Amino acid sequence: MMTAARHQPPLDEKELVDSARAGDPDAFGILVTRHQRRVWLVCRQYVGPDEADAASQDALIKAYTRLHAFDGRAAFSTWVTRIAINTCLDLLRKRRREGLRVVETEGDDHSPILDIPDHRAGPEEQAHQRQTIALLKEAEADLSDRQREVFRLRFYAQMSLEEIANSLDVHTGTVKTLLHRAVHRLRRELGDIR
Amino acid sequence: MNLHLDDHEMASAAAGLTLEPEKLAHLEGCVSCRSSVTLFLDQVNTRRRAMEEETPDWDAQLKRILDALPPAPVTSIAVRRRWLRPLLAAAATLTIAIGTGLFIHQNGSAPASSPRPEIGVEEILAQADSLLAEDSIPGLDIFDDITDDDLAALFGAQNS
Repeated sequence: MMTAARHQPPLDEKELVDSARAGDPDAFGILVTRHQRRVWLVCRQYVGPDEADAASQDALIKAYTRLHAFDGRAAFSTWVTRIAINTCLDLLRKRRREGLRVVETEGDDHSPILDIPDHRAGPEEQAHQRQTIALLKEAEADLSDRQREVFRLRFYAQMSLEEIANSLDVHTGTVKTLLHRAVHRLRRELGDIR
Repeated sequence: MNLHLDDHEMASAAAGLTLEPEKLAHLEGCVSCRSSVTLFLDQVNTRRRAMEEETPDWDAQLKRILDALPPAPVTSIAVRRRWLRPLLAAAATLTIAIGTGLFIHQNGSAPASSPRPEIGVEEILAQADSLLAEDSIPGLDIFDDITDDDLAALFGAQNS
C-alpha cells in the first residue's frame, strides 16, 4: 500500500535522507535526480565516458545502502561525491590488480565525434574545437595526478574549492595550490602565456 | 603603475582564485589580460561541453538505480548486529572453556601423574644385598640342586 509520504515526498534534503533511510524509495529517487548529474561528471573524470554511467549508478546504490552512516555534518552532495570518488578509485585499483589497461584520468574519448561539442557549428569551427580539446587533453596528461584530479573536479565537474577539499579530505589551501599550479602549467602548455 | 598581470596572477585569475584588489581592478580594465584569461576558460569550457554531451539518459539511470535498490537501506542497528554476532560467539566459547576447566578442577580428578618419592641409594644397595644373601640368582634356580659330584661326573665323562 502506498503511503502518503510516497505520494508527497519531502523536498528538504535532510527530510529526504530521513525518509529514504526509513525505506522510502521515492525520497531516494528525488535525491538521485538532484545529484546524479554531479555524480556522473565526477565519475567521468576518473573512469572515462564508457564506465561513468555504471560507476555513478554503483555509487548511488552504495549511498542508499550506507545512508545510516550519513551524519549530516557535510552536505549530502559532498558525502555522495566522496562515495563516487571512492567507487571510482576502487574500480581503477581492481583494474590494475586484474592487469587490465587502466583508462587514464584524462578520459578515453575513443570516438572523435564525442570531441565535437557543438554539432551545429560549421566544419571549420568543429575542427577548431576538436583541436582545442585534443590539445587540452594532451596538456592535462602532463599534470601530476593530484593536479589533474583537482583541475578536472573544479572545471569539468564544476565543484567549488570547499567541496573538492571536503571530498578529497584535504585543506582548501592545498586545493588552491594544486589548482593554481595546474592552470599555470596548462596555460604554458597551450601557449596561452604571452 | 598599471602593470599587466604576470603568469602566476593570470593563472590565479583563470582558476578563479583571489587576486589583489589592484590586480583585479587592472584585469577589469585591461582587454589584453582579460582576453588571455578568457581564452583559457573558453578552451576549458569547450572540453567541458563535449563531456556533457556524453551524459546518459538520466531517467533511465534513475529507473535502473531504483530497480537495483535493496528492500530497505541497512540500518545502523543492523550494522551493529553484524558485529555483535561473532562477538557473542567468541564470548560463548570462552565461557564454555572456563566452565569446563572449573568443573574438572572442582571434581577433584587427580593430576595425570603424581611424582614418585625418590628411593635413596642406601635402600637400593640393601635390596641388592638381601637378594645376593639368598644365594640364588633369579632364573637360574634349576642349577641350585646340582651337587659337586654331579659336576665331576659330568666333566669326567666329557674328558674321557
